Amino acid sequence: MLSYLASSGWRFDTVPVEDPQLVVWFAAYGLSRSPGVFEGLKDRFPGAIIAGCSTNGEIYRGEVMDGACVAAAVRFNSTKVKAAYAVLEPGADAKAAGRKLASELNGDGLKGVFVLTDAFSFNGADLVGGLVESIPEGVEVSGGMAGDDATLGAATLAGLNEAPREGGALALGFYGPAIRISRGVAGGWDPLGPSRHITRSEGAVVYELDGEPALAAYERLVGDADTAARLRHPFAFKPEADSEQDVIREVVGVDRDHNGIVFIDTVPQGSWGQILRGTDDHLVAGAARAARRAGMDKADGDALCLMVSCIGRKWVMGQNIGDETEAVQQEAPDVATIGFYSYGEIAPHERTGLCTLHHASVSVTLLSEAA
Amino acid sequence: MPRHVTQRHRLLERQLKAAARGREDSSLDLETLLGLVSKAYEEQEEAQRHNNDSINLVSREVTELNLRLRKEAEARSRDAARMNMLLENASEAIVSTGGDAVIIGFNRAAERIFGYSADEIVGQDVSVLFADWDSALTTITASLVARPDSSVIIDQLEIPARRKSGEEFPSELSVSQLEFEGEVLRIGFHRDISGRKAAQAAITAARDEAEAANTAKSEFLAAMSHEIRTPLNGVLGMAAALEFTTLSSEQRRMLATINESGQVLMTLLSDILDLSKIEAGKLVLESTPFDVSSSVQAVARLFEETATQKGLTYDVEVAQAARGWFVGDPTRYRQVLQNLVSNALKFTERGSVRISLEAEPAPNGEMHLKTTVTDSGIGISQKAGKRLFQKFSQADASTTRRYGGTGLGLAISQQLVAALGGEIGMQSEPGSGASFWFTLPMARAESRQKAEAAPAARKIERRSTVRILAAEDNRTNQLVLGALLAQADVEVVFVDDGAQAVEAAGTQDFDLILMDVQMPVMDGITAAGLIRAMDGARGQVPIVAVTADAMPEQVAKCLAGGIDAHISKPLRPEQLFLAIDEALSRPRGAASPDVAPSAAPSAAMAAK
Repeated sequence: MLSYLASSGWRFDTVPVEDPQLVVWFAAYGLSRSPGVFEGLKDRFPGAIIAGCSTNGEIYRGEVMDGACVAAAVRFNSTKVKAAYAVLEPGADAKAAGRKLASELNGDGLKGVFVLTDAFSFNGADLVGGLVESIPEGVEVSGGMAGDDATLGAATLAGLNEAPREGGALALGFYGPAIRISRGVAGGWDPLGPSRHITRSEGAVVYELDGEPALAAYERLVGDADTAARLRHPFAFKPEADSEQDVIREVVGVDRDHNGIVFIDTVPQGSWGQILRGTDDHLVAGAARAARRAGMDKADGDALCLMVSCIGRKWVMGQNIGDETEAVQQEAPDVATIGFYSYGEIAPHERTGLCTLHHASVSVTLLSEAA
Repeated sequence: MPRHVTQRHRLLERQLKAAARGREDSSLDLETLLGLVSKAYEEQEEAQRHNNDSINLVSREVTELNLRLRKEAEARSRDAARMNMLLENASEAIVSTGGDAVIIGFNRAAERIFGYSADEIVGQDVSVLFADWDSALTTITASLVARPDSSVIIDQLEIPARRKSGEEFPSELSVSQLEFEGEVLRIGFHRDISGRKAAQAAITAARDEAEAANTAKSEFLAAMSHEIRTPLNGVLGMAAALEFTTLSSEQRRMLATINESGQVLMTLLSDILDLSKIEAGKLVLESTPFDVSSSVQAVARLFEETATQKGLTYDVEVAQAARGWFVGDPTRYRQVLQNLVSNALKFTERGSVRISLEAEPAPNGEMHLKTTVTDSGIGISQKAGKRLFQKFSQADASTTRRYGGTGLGLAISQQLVAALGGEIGMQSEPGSGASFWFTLPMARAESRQKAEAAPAARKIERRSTVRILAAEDNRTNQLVLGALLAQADVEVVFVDDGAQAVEAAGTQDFDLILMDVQMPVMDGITAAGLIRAMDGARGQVPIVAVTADAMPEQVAKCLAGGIDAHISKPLRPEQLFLAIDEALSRPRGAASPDVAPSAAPSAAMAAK
């Protein structure tokens, strides 16, 4: 495990790993673009796959750092690691790119996939969809979409064996009988008001909730739908009012002319939407739940935990955000944990098992190798 | 890190850690620390504000929701109360049950009809409401209807029901079956139809009574007909007989008056009887092949003498197309034509009366036979003409005084023609004569039917002197008949009843039997039947009924009983001679009074 601070550069806090196969790193937006930071890693680990992305906060052993870099260098005994990488032009076919990444990884012994992508240059939900539909059944996908410096509108970057860049999308494949990968995802949000019937929607835009103009109904509950409010108040969508198959989606934009609320992917008319609010305690409990679902409470010290959590949670919890990273770490204090604050968490749905993009959630991926 | 710091609140600890991060000497960056602490306060305030907002919003929503729910609940309860009120006050008895036939609802009308209160009946089996549950169940099962678009399973089934008192009553039952939350519900609508049944029974009884009264009227009319015709027959018969005696011119005038008055009385009697028959709906129409042109000739002959006496030109014209046999009602045809001819002669003092018969093919393959009687009489306006076809109506009141008549003739004719599917009408101008016509649709008779009639022909053996057997119980009538027949070259043997007639007919040869119908010991129809049963020529003797029983069904009975023809009393000489002549010249088997050949009366029976 390494960390990088501008004042001190890359530092191991453990015995350095010799000739790692893989280095995963997450860097504050500014540092991620800085050639020297990536070069520092490359110089140190010339033979390793180096996969990283920009963040809105770096998770390192239960702490949240801002304006730093974190990295984990990994060497497996028998497990093979392979990486696929694409750089998409704006508006490119994300689904096709997802399929292409999958085709590059497909092969004997593929056990799991971890994905890091740009969040803004293309539709992340489509990329995940294309990837998931093209890998063998039973191979699970997790990961996250890069973060920025929370000014929104700035870029999100991802890179494989180079400094992270816009349009970057990379996927890591883990092969062999020894690798153990487990995953957990959870939100921990509370409902704000009753479930609303999506009485009119087109594609990814919801125009009416309970027959009322959607944006007006939303703003009546959350106030002005600025970035902060949108991150604080995502929706949980369900096919039926009493269905448990919910998926959390952040509001990615508004259409004031038509009173529409814009989401990242299709919201079927006739489905149900629940406006959410966060409270510190429940969000922290949600993070701990995600860790336990990944089996972190039973993990041994050789495991690596990759934690991806949502920027929106930081907006709600402020400086208390450290509570959720601590809660995850406390499930297994000896497990090395790094992670980042993202614009999208990728993991199998906690109820349906389907690998998909989540918003406002905590995704925990636990990697270890059988003896 | 200093030990005292690690024992602080975890947030403060984190802040201290951040303030110390990257500093080699473990010292704190005070500015960073203060900035983080200050920001934490702000965040805390903002979080508090958000929480308050959320609580307020949710509270507001809950309040609104609560209000809406309460309003909806009130509306629902109002709806339920209203629905309950409607059900309770429905005029039909509504009994609802579950799938197990146990009563769960019983409205007020049901309480009224069945006599149970809802409290005592709810929970009981629905079978208590039926007179005989086993048979009711069978009926209900057999009457189940299945309509995909309706919940009705029993539709207006009449079924005996039972009141609490044990009294049974007819009920009309409809049942709807519904499903509510997986449970079967049946709603039965019972209607007490005792009243309706009673009304139906009353109507039936009234109808029977009316029919009985009508039958009684008909019988009374038949009896009156006989009772009036018999003495009238005597009067007219004797008057006719008197004509053949030596009389002074004054006596002859008086005799003519007796004759005319008698004839008027007779016509009046016939018309009234006819009209009452028609109005009672008892008109029985025949459909039999007959030679229409022969009927025209026969009617013409009836009035030939009258026309001659008046010095009128009187002729008959039959178009080629109208010759031959048609299927229709000869009796009614002749009756209508007689009426028109009689009217024409009555209202024509000089000039002519012409009867013409034409035929045109109708679209349906039948023929339209148009019979027209044209006269050069007083005429009538078109407006008054229309009135003529109404009952008891003549052109004006003075007509009755001047010409007599009941004014029923044309009304009867119109009804007869309408019944036969034809039309009747007139064209006239006052002072320039009138033309009365009627059309009848008739199919041409098949040639086969004519062929059937022909082979039965058998010439009656004629002797030089014709022998007639006359069965007549009334002495006066015997006298009249004898006096009339004495004018012809015939030998008459009188017997007093049917039995004597049978005996005479079996032991002697006659050329013709004149048979009264109503006689003591044995009636004429029975006698005719026995004579027809005889072997050889004696069983084939032509029989003509002479009777006052002028009702059509009696005539039909005569013809069915083997009698060849029928003439009604009072006897008019020309009618009698014509009928005798036709009977004598007709082949046996062609049993129709109208099948007389159009030839002139035979020499044997020519009236003097």
